[in-house]
Amino acid sequence: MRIDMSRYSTLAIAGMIAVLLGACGRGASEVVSMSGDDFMRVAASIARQEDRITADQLARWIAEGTRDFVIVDVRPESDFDAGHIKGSLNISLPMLVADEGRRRISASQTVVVYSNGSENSAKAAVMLRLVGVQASFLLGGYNHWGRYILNPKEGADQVDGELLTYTERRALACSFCELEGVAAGYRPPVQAVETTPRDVHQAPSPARKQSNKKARKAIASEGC
Amino acid sequence: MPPTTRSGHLPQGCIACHEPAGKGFTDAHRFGEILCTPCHDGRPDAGTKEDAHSGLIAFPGNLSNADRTCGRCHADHVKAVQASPMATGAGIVASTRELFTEPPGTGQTATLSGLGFSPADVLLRKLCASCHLHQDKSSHSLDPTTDRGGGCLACHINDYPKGAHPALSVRVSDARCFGCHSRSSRISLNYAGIAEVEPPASQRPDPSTLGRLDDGRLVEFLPPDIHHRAGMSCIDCHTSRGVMGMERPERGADPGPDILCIDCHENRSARLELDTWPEKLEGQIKRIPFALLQDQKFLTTKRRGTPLWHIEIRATEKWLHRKQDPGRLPIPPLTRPSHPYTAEHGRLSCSACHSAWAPQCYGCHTTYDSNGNQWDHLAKKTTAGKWTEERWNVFNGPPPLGVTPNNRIVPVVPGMIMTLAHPGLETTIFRRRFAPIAPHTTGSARSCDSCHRSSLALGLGRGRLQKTDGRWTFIPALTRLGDGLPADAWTSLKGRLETGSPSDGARPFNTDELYRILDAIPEPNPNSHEPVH
Repeated sequence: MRIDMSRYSTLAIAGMIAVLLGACGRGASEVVSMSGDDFMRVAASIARQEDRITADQLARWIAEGTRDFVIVDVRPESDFDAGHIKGSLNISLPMLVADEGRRRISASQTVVVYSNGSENSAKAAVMLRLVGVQASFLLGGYNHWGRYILNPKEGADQVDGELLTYTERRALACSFCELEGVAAGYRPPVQAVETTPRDVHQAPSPARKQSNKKARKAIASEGC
Repeated sequence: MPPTTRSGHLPQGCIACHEPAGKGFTDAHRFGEILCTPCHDGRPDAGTKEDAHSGLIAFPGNLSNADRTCGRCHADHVKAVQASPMATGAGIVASTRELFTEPPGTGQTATLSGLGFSPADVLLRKLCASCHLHQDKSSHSLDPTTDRGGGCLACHINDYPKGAHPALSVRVSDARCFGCHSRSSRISLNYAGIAEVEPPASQRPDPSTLGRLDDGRLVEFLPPDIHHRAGMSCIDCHTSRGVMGMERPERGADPGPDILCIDCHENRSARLELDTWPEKLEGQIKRIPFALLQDQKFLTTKRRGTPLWHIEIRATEKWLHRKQDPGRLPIPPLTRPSHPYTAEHGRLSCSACHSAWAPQCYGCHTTYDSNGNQWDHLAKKTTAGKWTEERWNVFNGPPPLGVTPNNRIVPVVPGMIMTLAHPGLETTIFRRRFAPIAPHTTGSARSCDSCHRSSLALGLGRGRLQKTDGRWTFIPALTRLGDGLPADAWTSLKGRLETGSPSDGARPFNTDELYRILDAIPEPNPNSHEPVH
């Protein structure tokens, strides 16, 4: 649906935001300090549905190791402890735009907010957008995530090319098995790279000391 | 003076002095239930330390000892391992001698243990023979990057607490595989999403994408294999039969690993019940990690019929129980809706589509310095002569494809595109070899364009592939080498095969196949070209 933003008055949007921010304890003075342009920009992005993300998209980001976003779970702590999306922070709705909550979120990162369904997280995404954070909410929330990503069932949606097929979702589910104590496999130790590069083209033939005492100073080579 | 027990009774034999060494044992070799001598020999009834240690075997796992140590109880395993590729290295011996046009050898002389002193053999002695189970260990360490050799104990020690006996385990850690398998095709690195890069890559603007292994190799981080992300370890797929070379396939059958993707993911995989379990593997039954149904069925491998005892089959589900860490994983079934065009893609291996990337090295120069000295991994001393390898043009990305002798399309990587210089050779040798690989970087299937419009995937090398006036042309990005092919190519649109015949018999696509692949999808993108790295 295409929305003509000119039909919205700045005043009406400001009023709506005032209600939202008032609900989480922020002062009305901060609301009125925002310009009408800010409200219009946020409202336009919402109208373009830029404020939401599907479970498929989020699952792919996590599985592919994308690192430029943070996931925020706005549900109560007890719900979070019972199960949550891998890597998410638990920041309650009232705390989200308070200083304490904001400090846990980097301004340069995209924030994905989720609750049990969509409603609370949608409010949270709006609040964050109004204070300048690029935020989206997870469509369907954790309830949908649990059904669709963690425990996929074969269904009619597997023939819909826009959605992940059942098989792909089953494979993706493997990335979110922390509920069963699953962690990623073995990784060898890797050190941070020093700032001065060793600019040599020698093949990777690490010099290695022999354990044999007589040959302690001998250097062994190994091929590619 | 030997320690006494609380009752005042003097302990006898080895434990009179070695009681503290009772720490560290696992249940399979529980201290006190199994004597020390079956593994270590020596004379437990001797009166002095010197006599007691006469004939002592400090490292029972070394294959030079294994017949009279591990082999007393595990004779079949020891016999198989001694003949396995990990012990003989027969594959790299044959391919290296082929490069030098040296005869392949037979029996013992075709293995790493039987190397002589020809140019090829000296290269293997100096650069390759450390990854060799026949290499004896003289100290135990658990350094994943540098550990090599040691026979049975190369794999079966996962823990070595200070002041304790090494803990033996059949649950072989991935860290034990890493020492050898992080080289050559670099499977252990690939699986964990780590790829070597050329040192100048550290000049990239974002050093957070780079790291350095403990042995100094510079690496970048790429997507790990999906099985790694699910916490699966090497032994979750690779069976002991396959790794140790037991129950070899019949002559002429595919000698590859025991496990195949379809063994788990294909819906029509073979089934086995408890009463038909192979007698030699009955010990596995007590390790089954889930409650059994009355008529419980199990999957088996297609190649050797090995039971996959850690996979739980239920009415509509299959679950893999991980062997290293607790937890089970759903096994996605291979379904027809997710694999369209099965007729057209019938020759494709799973890894041809699902390998996200593979390490590829398109330049290598190997040279011998007769005035230098270098460690000989077989002689275990520094000897005259030094082989050095240099490389360049390293690329980690979607791999090229090729065709195996049984007509399957598989990923391939340049085994070597190299020049070889040795004073005993009349001229510098140039070799161009590609080899099939299972990259272990499983992910979503690659796109249609990434094969049908990729010159690299087709074996032509990187460059611009375009169709003009109904005719396909290719402009390579890299210069042509002595054999006329671009530096990163395996073939050309004229279907030219590489010079010589690779030992594994794999080949690039022929002309007919190349044009069929190119014309299989309708609209070529005029701007399609491989990025130049």
